[in-house]
Amino acid sequence: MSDTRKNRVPRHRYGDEILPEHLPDGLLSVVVFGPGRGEAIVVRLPNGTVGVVDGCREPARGDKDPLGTGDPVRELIHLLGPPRLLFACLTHPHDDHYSGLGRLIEAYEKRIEHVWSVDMGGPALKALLATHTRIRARGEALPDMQKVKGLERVITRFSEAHKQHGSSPNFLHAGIPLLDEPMDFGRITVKACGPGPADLIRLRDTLYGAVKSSVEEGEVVNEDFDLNIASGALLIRWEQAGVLLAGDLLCGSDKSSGWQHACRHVDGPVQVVNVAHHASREAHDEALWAKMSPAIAIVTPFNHGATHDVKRNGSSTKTKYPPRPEQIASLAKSATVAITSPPHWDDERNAPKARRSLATKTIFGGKNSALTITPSPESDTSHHNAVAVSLDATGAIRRLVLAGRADVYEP
Amino acid sequence: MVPSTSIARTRPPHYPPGDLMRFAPKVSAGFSLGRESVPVHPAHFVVGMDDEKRPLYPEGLKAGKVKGTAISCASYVARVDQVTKRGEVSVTLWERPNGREGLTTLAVDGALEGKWPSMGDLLWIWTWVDVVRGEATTKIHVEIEKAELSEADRIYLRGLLAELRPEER
Repeated sequence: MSDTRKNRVPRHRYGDEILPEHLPDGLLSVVVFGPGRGEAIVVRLPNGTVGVVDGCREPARGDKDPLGTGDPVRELIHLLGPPRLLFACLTHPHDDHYSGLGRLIEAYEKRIEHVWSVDMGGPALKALLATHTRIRARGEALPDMQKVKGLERVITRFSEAHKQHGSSPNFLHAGIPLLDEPMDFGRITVKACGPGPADLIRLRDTLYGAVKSSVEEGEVVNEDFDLNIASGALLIRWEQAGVLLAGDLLCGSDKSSGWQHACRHVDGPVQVVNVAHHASREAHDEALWAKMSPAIAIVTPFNHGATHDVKRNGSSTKTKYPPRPEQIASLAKSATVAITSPPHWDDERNAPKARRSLATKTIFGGKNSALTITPSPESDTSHHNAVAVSLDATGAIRRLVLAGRADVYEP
Repeated sequence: MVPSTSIARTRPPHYPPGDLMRFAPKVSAGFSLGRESVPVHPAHFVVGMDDEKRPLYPEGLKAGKVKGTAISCASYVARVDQVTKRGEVSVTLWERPNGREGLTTLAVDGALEGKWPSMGDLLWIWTWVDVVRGEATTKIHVEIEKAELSEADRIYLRGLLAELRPEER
C-alpha cells in the first residue's frame, strides 16, 4: 500500500457484527450489509438520524417478531434506537435489494420522513407484480413465494408512502435533489444520480411487453433488457465528504443511458463508493472511476460470486457471478476494496487474496457432480456480514469496521 | 500488510428501548440482558416426498434414461429465475426431500435437451451416476412444468394491458 493510500484509509477493525459503538456521533457513517446475496445500506448522519437504502433479508419470523430479528438492518436500527427514520429508499425492485424493506416500512409506518424509489408508474408496478405472481407454476407450493410476497409488500408500502408524502420529491431521477438537511454539523444533501429518463422509458416499455407476451403467449418472453439499467443511485454529501451508493446501475449502450448519463451528476469529491451491481464488469465505468478516485470501494457479492459449470452438449462453459477476481484486483489498484463476504475463487489463477481466509464456500455438489450448486446465503449466520465506514466533514475516513466474514483486499 | 485489531467480539448488554420493552424475551428464572437470538435460516421443508408422478429416485424415468445401476441419486425441484438469449437458465432449486436451497445454472443445449423454459416455470431435476458394466457416467434429466394461466388471470392481464397502454406508451 502506498503512503498516500495508507494515510487515506485507517487501520481496519474486525467484529462479529456492526454495533452502535462503531458508528460514532459527529461522523457520517455508512453500513453496507451483504450476506452473500443481497445488499442493504444503513446511513447514520452526524446528528444520529438514520436512513436506509434497500434491504437484503426478510426477518426470520415475519409478522410474529416486531423487532425483525434475522434482518440485519432491523437489528442494527433496533440497537441504534432512532424514533423515526429520515429516509427509506428502494433503488430497484430486485429481490436481492428489496428483501425485508417492506416489513421495515411497516414497522416504521408514518415515522419515515422521506420515501424514494424508481418511478415506474402505478400500472407499471402492477405489471411487474403480475409477471411475478401470475406466470409461476405452482405459486404457493414452494418457499420462493416469500420473494413474491416480499415484492408485493414493498411495492404496496412504497405506493402508500408516496401518496402520503404528496408533493415532496419521491422518485429517483438522475439529477434530482432528494434531501437538503441543515444540521449543527453542516449541511447534508442527497441527490439521485440515476436512472436517466431514457432508461425509465425503456423500463416501462419492457414491462408493457412482458404483460403483453404473457397474455398472448401465456408466458413471459425474455426481453433483452436488464431491469438494473433503471436502478437508482444516490450521492450523499456532507461538506467535502462524498459517498456514492451506486445500486445496481449498469453502463448503458449510449450517452443517454446507464452510467454514461449518470456520470455527469456525480460531482465533487467522493471518498467512499458502494460499487455498482456487485462490481460486475458491465457496471464499471472507467471515466467515472477516474473522476471519483475513491479511497474505499465497498463490494457486496451476488450469489457468493460463485462460478457454475454449465454442461452443454459435448462441452462445458462457466457462468460467473460478480464480483470477479480480475475486477477486484483492478479496483484494488487505486482503492482499498472492502467486501462483505469474500467469494471462493479457487479455480481462478492469480485471484486476489483477502486478508483473512474466511471465504464462503460457494459450492455443494449434491450426491454427484452433475450440477454445480451454490447454497442459499441464508443457510448460516452470514446476515451480519457488513462493512461500516465513518467519515468526517473534510472527507477524511476515520473508521473502517468489518463484521462477520467481511474483509479487505489490498495490493 | 497492516495488522488489524479485533474489537467487539461479544455483543454488549442491551435493553430494548422504551415501549419495545414489552417484546423483550420472557425468562422464567433469573434475568437476561442479552438480545433474543433466533435461527435465521429458513426451516427446511419436505418437498415431493410422496409424489408418485415424480419419484425421488430415477428408476421409473421415462425413455429408459437409466441403462445400468443408478447410484448417488439426487432429486431437485427448481424455479426458473432468468433465461438468457444464449440459453443459460438460472434457477433457484430445492433438494428433495430435505428442502435445502441452492442456486445453479443449466444450459438449453445441455441438460434441458433443447427445451426453452420461461421465467417462473418449475423444473424437476434428477441426477445420478449410471453404472453400466462397471463404467460410471454422470446423468441428468429435467422435466419442465409450465405455468398455466387461468381465464381469470388472462382477464386481469388484459385489463392491465389496457390500463398500461394510454399511460405508459
